[in-house]
Amino acid sequence: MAHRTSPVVLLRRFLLNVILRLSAIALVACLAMILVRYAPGFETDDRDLDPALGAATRNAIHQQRLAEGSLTEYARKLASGILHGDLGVSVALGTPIRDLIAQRGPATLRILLTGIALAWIGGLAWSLGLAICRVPSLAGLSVLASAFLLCLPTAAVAALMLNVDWPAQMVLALVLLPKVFQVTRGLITQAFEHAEVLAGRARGLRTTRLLGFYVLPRIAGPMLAWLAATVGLAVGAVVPIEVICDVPGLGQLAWKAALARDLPVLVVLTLLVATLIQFSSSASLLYQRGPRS
Amino acid sequence: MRKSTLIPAALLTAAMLHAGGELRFCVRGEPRNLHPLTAVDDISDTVRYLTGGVLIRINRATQKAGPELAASWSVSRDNRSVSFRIRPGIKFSDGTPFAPDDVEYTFRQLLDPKLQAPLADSFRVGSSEPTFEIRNGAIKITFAAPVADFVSLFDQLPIISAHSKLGVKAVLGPFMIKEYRPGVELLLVRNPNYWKTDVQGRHLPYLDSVRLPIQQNRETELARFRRGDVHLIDTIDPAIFDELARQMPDAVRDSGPSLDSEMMWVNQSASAPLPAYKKQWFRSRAFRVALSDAIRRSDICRVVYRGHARPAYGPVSPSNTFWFDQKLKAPEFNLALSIQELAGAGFALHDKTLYDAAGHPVEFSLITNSGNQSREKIAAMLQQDLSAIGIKLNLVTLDFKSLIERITSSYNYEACLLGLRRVELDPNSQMNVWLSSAPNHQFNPSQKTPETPWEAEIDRLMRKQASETDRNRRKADFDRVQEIAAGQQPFIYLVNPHSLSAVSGVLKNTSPTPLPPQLVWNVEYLSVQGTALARGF
Amino acid sequence: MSPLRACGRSLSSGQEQAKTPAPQRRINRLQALWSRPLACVDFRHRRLRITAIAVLLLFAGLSIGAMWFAPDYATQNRDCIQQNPSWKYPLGTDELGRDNLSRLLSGLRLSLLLSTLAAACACALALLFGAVSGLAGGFVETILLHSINLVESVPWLFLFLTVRALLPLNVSPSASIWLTFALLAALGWTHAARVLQASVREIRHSEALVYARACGIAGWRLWVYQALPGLRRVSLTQFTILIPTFILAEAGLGLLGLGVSEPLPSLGNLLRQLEKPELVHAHPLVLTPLLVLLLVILSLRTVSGDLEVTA
Repeated sequence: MAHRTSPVVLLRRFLLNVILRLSAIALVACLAMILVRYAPGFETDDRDLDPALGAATRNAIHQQRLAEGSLTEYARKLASGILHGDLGVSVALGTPIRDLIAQRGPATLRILLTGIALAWIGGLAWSLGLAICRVPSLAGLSVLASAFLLCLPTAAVAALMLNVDWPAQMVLALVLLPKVFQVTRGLITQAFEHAEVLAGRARGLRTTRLLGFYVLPRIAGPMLAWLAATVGLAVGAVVPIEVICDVPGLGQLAWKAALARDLPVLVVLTLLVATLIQFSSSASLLYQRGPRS
Repeated sequence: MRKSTLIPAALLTAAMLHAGGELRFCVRGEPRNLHPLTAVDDISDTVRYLTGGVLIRINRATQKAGPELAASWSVSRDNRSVSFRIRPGIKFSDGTPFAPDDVEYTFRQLLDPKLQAPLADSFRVGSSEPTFEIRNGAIKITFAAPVADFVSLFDQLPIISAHSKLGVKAVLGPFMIKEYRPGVELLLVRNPNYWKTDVQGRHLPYLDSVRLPIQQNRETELARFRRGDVHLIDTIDPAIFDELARQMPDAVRDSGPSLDSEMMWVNQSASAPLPAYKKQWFRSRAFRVALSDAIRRSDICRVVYRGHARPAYGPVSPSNTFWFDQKLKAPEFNLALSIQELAGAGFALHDKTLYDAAGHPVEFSLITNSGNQSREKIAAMLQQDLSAIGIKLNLVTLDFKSLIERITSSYNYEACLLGLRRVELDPNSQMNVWLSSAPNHQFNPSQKTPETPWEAEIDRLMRKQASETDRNRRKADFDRVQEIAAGQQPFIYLVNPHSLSAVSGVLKNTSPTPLPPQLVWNVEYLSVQGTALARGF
Repeated sequence: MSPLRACGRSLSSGQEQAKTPAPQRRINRLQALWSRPLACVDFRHRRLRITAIAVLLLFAGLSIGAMWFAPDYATQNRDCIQQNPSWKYPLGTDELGRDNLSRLLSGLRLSLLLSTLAAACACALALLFGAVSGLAGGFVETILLHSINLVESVPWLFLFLTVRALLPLNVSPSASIWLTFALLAALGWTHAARVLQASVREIRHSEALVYARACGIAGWRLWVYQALPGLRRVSLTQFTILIPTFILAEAGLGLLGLGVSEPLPSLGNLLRQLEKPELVHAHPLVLTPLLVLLLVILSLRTVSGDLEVTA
């Protein structure tokens, strides 16, 4: 007889989950605030090197900088502002952060979604293709190609793709592709070594059937976990890609904000990243903890 | 052909020659802000130059000041007041008439502490605000104390309207901002009310618009130039310049040494958290001069800049024709002299390592900002040059903010390699670098009283030239400052990089100069030949 | 994972073979192939492994031997800038006239040793986190996964900046490099941990483990002899992904003042030259560090068995 969990328990679990996730995101934001605020150079301004500035102006700039650096004040403003959709103002650009995200968000989202999708479609198709074909020379070439791509710096891939006018999405896909391929290939190969799969092969089952009914269901959990991990990898890779390819996205904004120690922008971007990573890892965990037949 | 058809044909030809069109060139980042009075970075400066109308303009080719919005001007003998006769009939881009009270309004905005305008401090002299007298189309501005170098200050001050409904968006320059797409581009269009005409009486500018795509990647910018998407590149990397010179020899321009320079200095600050023996090294004139003599500047010019640079003598580039001290002796590499100077100061070279009199091996760190490949190469070359006199130089590249923090706040560094950029012609702009009490006196800032006689002498000379009215006497004073600096080497100047640029053949009337904006200083007279220019991204 | 192994049966008895049906015999042969030591592996794989070991030994030997036959990676010969290969400079010179071969071999020595150690540490951390969270399940798993999410989300760039600020400017190059790779290991394990956690979970719920328990195997033996071998391939894959990742990350950290400083070369710094396509086009030999790294990674994967494909 199947065990049914009561709705109250489910609701309690759900609420606990939400509270836990929000707390985790808040903790990430606090850590980011502390790291940025106490990083060297926070209280300096590029205008400190301008010989035209007098003492009074320099003092005014420093006082303003110190005021911007009050963490409790900033946290209070952010917490109350978030509820009203006010994410603060960028110190470096003087623009509301909400507007910056609205302007730049779509470009980054496009790159992330397309890049991850292309990398996974390509990587999975590649691994499955090798599993079906089972031609050693193809496997050898694939390993060579994936290792080659893995050894290329992201900036070099971006520079190369720029030369042939390929979009930034392709750059991200090429950066993630070898990692996706190697992990999925390893998982598929390992799954093929399991007894039931070997038994199936011994009994003459076709490779495609084995893949569909035995291998893929077995490795779905780890693959979803790796998908969640590639989201994190993609978020990290999108920064140099947007900087080199000159895409006016959130990655480029993050880099400029980091160089300028723009606390409001960095904290908001960290919140976005943390939410994205929480979301992707939840999806993976949901599958892993789902009902098993 | 009949005469009556020849004249329209001639006019048509003239019109085709001055075809107008859209000028496109890349800017390498976002403008920090577009307020004309608070431009602090290169991009905002460029936009300000293209849109702002000024009372006096320094001709970048001749380096001489000429009347602009002011038909004429005069400066009082005591340098405390300046009178401008405003040209009549000029209007802002929205049609609002330009009047002398706009100049007063501009000043009041500039001096507002909330604006934090970088130019304001140069006009904040004495204890009170300046006064304004407007009479018969002229304005007289009187300051509480003498202001040195009126001319170059007014060259940077765009006049804004006191009456226009558009506020600072109403401009007097040849172009006005039409659209700004953050991260993408800035579009400027012709100011229909621009007051200037050419010798034939045609209204300037010739160009219809200027498009500034935001492009940080130099390779992409170069690719776009090759394709014809952009018409010029200013400040090209020397390696790319040589590559382009091979492929498109007619497009490249080397305008000679720019006003910029690369320099290093050692930390002489008493409050620096350094061991006492290191402070002693850095405060020793012989040590600093020995460092300078051991550096192969010609190698830096040849290797890092591929011959497109000149060894630097002092704070003034030879392109600054009036202020450069011709009498200064060029620095020469001389290893034997360097070792001799060190020996005279109590240092000794044993087994390829230099030791001070107390037996400490001479080793110190050199910080510079990361991401600047030329500077990183220079640092590596300095490392080898100084190892020839037994000095171990440790290189540390830091991000810019961390570097600024060390050199302006904590003073926790030993030596620094940086460059001077956006240098102005008049040395008064470097007052805060040479005054010992100033925060930008980088090697030993914010001194209560000058710690050395030579710094005291430099203080005296800089203050003297700031209040001097005669230009030649000012030059004599500043020449003396340059000579003292050359003898003491508080800043070890290394090279003046050349101003390298590329110009497309379709862009007419360009005249590259080493002074910024190198290629668009005469933007009113530029034109793009050809029809139906493709807009490329 | 073999249920037969779980029950500890021997495969060699002829009598047992006679009783065993044909499909089961085929399974047994395939199992035996996978579990036999190196000497009995298929000849093609054996040849490949020997070649890979030889390549690794060659590079190790060259990079160590470079301390004697090509020690001068720092001297700038300013009259020989970006020279083509010659007897004096077999791989030509760089933009400052330094010998590319010496720099490559010195960089290889440094980068490979440290990145391999860092990758091993990161994989060990990932295995620890992944195994504990996958095994424990429930609240412990949730907390550990949130820790992984936290480590992935925080902008650690500022930690690196702070570390650089705290280090003395004249810190020895070796201290700076070791610290850099230690930081990379401490922060680079999260992606691997996710996959390992999911794999451990999968193993925990697998029928093979249930069968092993049913055969009476319990406690640490169950996990060490039954579960851990199943993580071998996943761990090795992550290990071989992390090595080039750390090598390239070290070059990026140079922008923050950490990592290898001039004149010491590193593989990451040499690979950064690939960011200039014009340079690659003009001097194709800048691709040499990439080829060397590629060979090393392929050899490592071959030796570790990550590349084996069952017939």
